[in-house]
Amino acid sequence: MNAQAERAVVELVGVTKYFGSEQVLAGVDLCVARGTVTALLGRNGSGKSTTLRIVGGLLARDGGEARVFGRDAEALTLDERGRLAWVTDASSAWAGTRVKDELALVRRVRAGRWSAAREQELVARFEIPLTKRLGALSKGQQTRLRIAMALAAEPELLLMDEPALGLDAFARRDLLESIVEAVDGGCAVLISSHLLEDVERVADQVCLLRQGRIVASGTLDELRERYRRVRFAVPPGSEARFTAAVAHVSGFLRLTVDLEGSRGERVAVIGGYDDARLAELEAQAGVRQLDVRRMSLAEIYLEVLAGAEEHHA
Amino acid sequence: MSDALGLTDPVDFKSEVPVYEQIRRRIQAAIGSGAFAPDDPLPSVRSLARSLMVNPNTVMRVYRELELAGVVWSRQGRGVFVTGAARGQCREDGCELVRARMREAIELAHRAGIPARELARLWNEVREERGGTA
Repeated sequence: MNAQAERAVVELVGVTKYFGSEQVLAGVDLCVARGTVTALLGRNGSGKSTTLRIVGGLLARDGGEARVFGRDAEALTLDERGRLAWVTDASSAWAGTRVKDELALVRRVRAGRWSAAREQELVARFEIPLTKRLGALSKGQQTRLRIAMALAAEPELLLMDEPALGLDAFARRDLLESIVEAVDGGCAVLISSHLLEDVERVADQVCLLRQGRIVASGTLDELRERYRRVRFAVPPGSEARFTAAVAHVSGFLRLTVDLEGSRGERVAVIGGYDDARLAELEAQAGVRQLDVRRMSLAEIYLEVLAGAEEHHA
Repeated sequence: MSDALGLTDPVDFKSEVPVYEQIRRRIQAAIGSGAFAPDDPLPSVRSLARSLMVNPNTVMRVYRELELAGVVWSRQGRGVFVTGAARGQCREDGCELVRARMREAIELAHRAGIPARELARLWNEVREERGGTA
């Protein structure tokens, strides 16, 4: 077993899932290492939640392999399950339950791993109202409570499905802080989110999902290295040649040509950037680049998910 | 398999086993036996409470505990569903329950002076009584 596999808390290989005849996961490969944050990004219905639920043992997969702590995700013992924690927006807890009673229940169920000190610290820091009923909590308070219950159990794997949904800036800050703290303690985190600026801040690895497939993945630095926006000076009369060259090298250049570019300028986005490829395009198209710019995660997200399905692994 | 495990059979209010514990064991047994498969919905809190004639809060507590144990999960507005990992887990719990009863039986036999050989014979006898399916 290599070093990476030893550190892997989650390993998915070719995981597939169908809801009826509809394929929602079409072969997902994923590896989450100890002490790292992996973010699943994609539009609604791209398979983020399904992936998380398969990792957490909530959904049974139809094909492929899913291992958590080196064991089949569907065959974890109760003890092993206690090592993973969920932060989701749904719970079967009764809305009339008081917060302190809910905490007592979770404390009892997770007794083996529960840290009373961590619980107290989180309850104080998040200002969790112990005597309120669950149904009377604001969205932010609910999320803070769920985070506190997840972290006080000192998990080795933290699964979060859109935890930031509907949170204000303060609650989001608390959420990000708690993720950083968990990772600091060696926890592996798998999170789905639409908030790209948050993801950019905490994620070590990003996976972009589209129609049940991971269409781009890597560390943020790797993605920024691969995806570049290049501005070209296209001399009058060379537009057709430029467009043809772009089409010709589409095997490694994925381009959205900005046709509104004025003064003979065109903008192209490259997935799988390297200097040689750029030089080849310049030679074929008879153009020269004006500048090459790295892109933000939000820009990469839009380009990758708007474009045709292509792998640039 | 439906005899002792019937989800909606009346609960025993005189039992030493708390009502919520009885309900929890039944659900786990039903999942362990395959009567409920992964992705299947469990009865709604209200309908199960009504057919068992218990307080809905009791059922809710059972579902919450099963949720914390990773046996069921709830989907916003859609109810409670059996998890992919539930079956293995419930069978494990079922085995633990059986083990506990076996320990009791062995202890009982020991006190009654029944040797191990005899115990094995009793075991087979009881199995045959049941039609040999156990």
